[in-house]
Amino acid sequence: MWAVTLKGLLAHKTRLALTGLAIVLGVAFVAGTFIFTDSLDDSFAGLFADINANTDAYVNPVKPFEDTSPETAFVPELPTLDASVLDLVAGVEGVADVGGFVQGFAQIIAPDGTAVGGQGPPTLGFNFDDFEGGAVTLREGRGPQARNEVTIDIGSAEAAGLGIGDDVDVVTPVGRRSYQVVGTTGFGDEDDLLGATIVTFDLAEAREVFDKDGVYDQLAVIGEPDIDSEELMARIAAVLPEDAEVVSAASQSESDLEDIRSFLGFFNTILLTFAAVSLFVGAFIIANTFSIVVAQRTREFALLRAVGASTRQVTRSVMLEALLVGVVASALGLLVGIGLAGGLRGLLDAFGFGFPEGENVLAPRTVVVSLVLGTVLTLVSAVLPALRAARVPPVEAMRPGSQASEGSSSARTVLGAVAGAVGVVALIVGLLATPDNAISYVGAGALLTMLGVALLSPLIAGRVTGVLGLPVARRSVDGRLARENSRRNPKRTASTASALMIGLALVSFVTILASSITGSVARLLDEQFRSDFIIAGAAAGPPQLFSPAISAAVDALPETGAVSGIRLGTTQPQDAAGSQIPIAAVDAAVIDELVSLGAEGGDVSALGEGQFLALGSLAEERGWAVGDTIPFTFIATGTRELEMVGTFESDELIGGRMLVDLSTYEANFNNDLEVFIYGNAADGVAVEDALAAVEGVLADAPNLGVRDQASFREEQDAAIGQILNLMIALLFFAIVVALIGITNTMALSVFERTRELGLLRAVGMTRRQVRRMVRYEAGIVSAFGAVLGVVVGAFFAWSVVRSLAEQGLDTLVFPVGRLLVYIVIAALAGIAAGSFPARRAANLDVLEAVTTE
Amino acid sequence: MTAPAPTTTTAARVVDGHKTYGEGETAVHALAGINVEIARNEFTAIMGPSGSGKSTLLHCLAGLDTLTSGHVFIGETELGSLRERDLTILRRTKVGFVFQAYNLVPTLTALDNIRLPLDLAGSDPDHSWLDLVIDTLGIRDRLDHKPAELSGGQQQRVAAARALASKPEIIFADEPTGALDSNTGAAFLGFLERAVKEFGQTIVMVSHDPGAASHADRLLFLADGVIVDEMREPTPDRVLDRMKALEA
Repeated sequence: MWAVTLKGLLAHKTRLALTGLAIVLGVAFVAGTFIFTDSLDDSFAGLFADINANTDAYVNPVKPFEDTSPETAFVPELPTLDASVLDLVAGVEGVADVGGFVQGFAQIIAPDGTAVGGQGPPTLGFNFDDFEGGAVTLREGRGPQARNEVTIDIGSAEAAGLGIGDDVDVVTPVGRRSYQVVGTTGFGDEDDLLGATIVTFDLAEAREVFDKDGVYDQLAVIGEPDIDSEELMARIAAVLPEDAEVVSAASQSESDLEDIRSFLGFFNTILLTFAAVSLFVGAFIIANTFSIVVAQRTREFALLRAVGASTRQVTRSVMLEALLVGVVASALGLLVGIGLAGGLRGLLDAFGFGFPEGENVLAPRTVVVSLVLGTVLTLVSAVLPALRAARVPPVEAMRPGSQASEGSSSARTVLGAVAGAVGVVALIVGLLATPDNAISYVGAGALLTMLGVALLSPLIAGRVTGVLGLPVARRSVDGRLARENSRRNPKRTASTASALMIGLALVSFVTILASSITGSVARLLDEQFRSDFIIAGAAAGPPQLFSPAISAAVDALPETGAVSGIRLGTTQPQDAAGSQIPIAAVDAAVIDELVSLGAEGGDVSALGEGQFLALGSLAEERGWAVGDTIPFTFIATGTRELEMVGTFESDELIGGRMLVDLSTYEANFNNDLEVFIYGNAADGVAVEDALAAVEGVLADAPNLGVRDQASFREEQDAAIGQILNLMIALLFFAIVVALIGITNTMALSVFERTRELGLLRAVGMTRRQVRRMVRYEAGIVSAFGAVLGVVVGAFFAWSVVRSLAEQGLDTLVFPVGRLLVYIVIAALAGIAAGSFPARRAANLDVLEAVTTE
Repeated sequence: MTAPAPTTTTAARVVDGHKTYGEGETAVHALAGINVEIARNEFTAIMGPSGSGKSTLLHCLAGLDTLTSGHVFIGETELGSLRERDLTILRRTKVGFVFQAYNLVPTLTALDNIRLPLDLAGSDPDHSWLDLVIDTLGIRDRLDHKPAELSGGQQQRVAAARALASKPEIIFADEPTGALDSNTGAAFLGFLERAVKEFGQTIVMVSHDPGAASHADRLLFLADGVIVDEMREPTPDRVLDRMKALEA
């Protein structure tokens, strides 16, 4: 049977290549994802090892807990070490050198007035120390030795066109100041670290601009060459006060890496999810191709059976073919994945993520997972067709022109109904009942729903393609033939379309979700947003932190009325270690004029130091009542009791589940940076005039921008649109795989209809008409897949939006125009996918075709 | 409706036609310098032993295959000079086909199959002509059926109707009764005869069945790639005798 299998494979090279391609692409996506994230992990690990290479240990202030809530983790909230600790550590026997560092926000302003970096990556400043270790390495020039001297990182120097001796402005929490560049720095051997920008000052200047008088954020220690590092750490620990701890450089690297790893892990999961979608689509295509091929080879199998092959041998021959296709395609996929890893980096770069350069890392895990996944998937997809091949009775060999029928079976219908029903139930349970592993319920539910639709779709394929084919059928006879051809084998049409359905379902889902979010945001702003303007990072993107000097300056303008800076942070109720609550701080006196909070039980403007408002749902969750005094732990300042004076209902515009006045924040947080500013024009002042005045203030802070209500809305929409586009870009792969499936099926159909094509050509169909007929059919099948996909995607979106109503996603918006455009694009893409089989069909030799058996 | 005026001129001809497969010593000469003229308004049958070149001749005459050397004319059009597209249009407008089997597009109804060449050309059918053809062939009550719902004889009659629909210069039939039982076959050949006599059509048929060939006005005998004999008003017995002589 080996020989038969191999001959079968080689006789159909094109079919083999197209089937394999579906697997190649899916596996490439998986392999590319692994290689990409492994490579990043590797380059970060190398980077941190470099940075910490000369340092033996670090002394850090003890943090009561780590801020892990996504709403506030970007706020640099750190306790500090008293400056005296440096002398304690320096006095330890075996310590060769100690560097003391303070750090904070420092935004470099390029000579052309624009902000360098930022928009996500940190803009950091710290003091320069002659210490031999340290996070930055001097590349050129020297360290700052006077209050007006700085070094900047080499990446920023290049980006801003700055060199040694040039003047540079830097915005720090105290405002904008001018300095002279005296040196450039790198991170170990790297020029760029995730797009971070670094300014170093002399210690006195750093302490002043960062308000770190008499303290350090961190000490770095180098031991004598002959001392054991464990011993060194033990000796240092012995002299440290209670609020300081010593960690080895290695574990500091590890914990630095940990943050990056959790980010990369998140990334890995997202990319793998999309890769899984591509593979799922690929599995559909393999199953479909093998089914068609088995049907076409019915006579061959019957002949094999007639000459004595057992059913098992026939099954094995098909499975063997699948095995070979799977192994070869997976191996190719792995190779393509190596190239794709670079492509993914490019894609994410294009969407604004900067990653360090590094070698591609091909881990053994990547090789094993890729090969096993691709091969097993191919085999599993081929099982049913292989079993069907074995069921061909030998007598079929005697029947001329016979072909296994491909009508929809009742078993298939029952299976489809069950899968669909279970899927819908799992989806709804996962979304509404939110069990522990809700995401698995939702994922499995979505998968089963799509499978159910795919299995049931032959029931409607004939009717729907009949309707979808009408426009081309009315145009010409080739269009009419295309429409009839798309209806002649509903099972095949449905299976082919289902692959595209999956991709389109997800694209429609994210599109509807994005529109619904946009709609919900619009409603939210209508109901809650009272400000005339908002100040935040100049470009949309991750939050930009900035100095409180800005809100003070804006508030001082005669053109402005109520103005409140917003600061964020986190706290832990003392009785609930592990749970963190995001806190927002506002100017309580004016916030009601700017944002509708739906406050109850207390006058917001009377909110005083040591008091807070809780979000209604939070108070209920924790059982707090108005008048309760609750002890909280803060990262930098320890434990403090706050009194709850009321509740509020709308946290969307301020970002905290607890609301305090700025005075309370200042008493409990080291950080004083703000995330945004809400403001109104003064009475009798036009909004435009107020905006113009605010822009005057922001001239000194080019990293910030001011928007009125309308442009703020547009910006929110654009940000959602950006994420939507990234999602669609990632789903593009699955759609390409589905289109390959259409090419494949059409090629097989053309092969099967050789005789008929010959007849059509003989009675006067031109090559052009043949090409059009095949392409139209591909287009109709695609449109059918797209319609199914949009319907399934709409259902997913509807159920998700329903389940998120309480999280503020309360408006379901169907962007009908856009969804229709998707269907049209899918149909056009299908027509393009049909081009190759169309050319084959048109180039058939007429005489050979009409004389084919 | 008017049938095309009968003329005595030539509907198709082959001049010094050669068709060679392979090269050198292994070359096979399917047509070896053949000269044939097909008269208009006649039912011409072509017979010959297996390998005599009769199918090749038909395919070359019909523009489905090309000669290695020599010339083929349909009317006054020389096929060798035509580009692929013009050849297709010629097949659609000037030539009709009836094959042995699988004559119809399975997804189209009988009527759509009949109108196929006209629809492909985008031309409006001559309705009265179409009605006459359909009624003559006796398939009016089957027009809405798909080919799978028709008997073999009905399928061949629909195929004949399609061949006639565009009022072609010439109709080629390749063993049209090969898949039919003898009664159905004879009835079908009767229709072809009527098409020639009543509608002034020109038909060329290849067959190996003396009974079928005897429906023709003129019978050509082919052997080794050339015409070796011809017979007017053939009868089955005379045909059989001649075939025996040829194969001997």
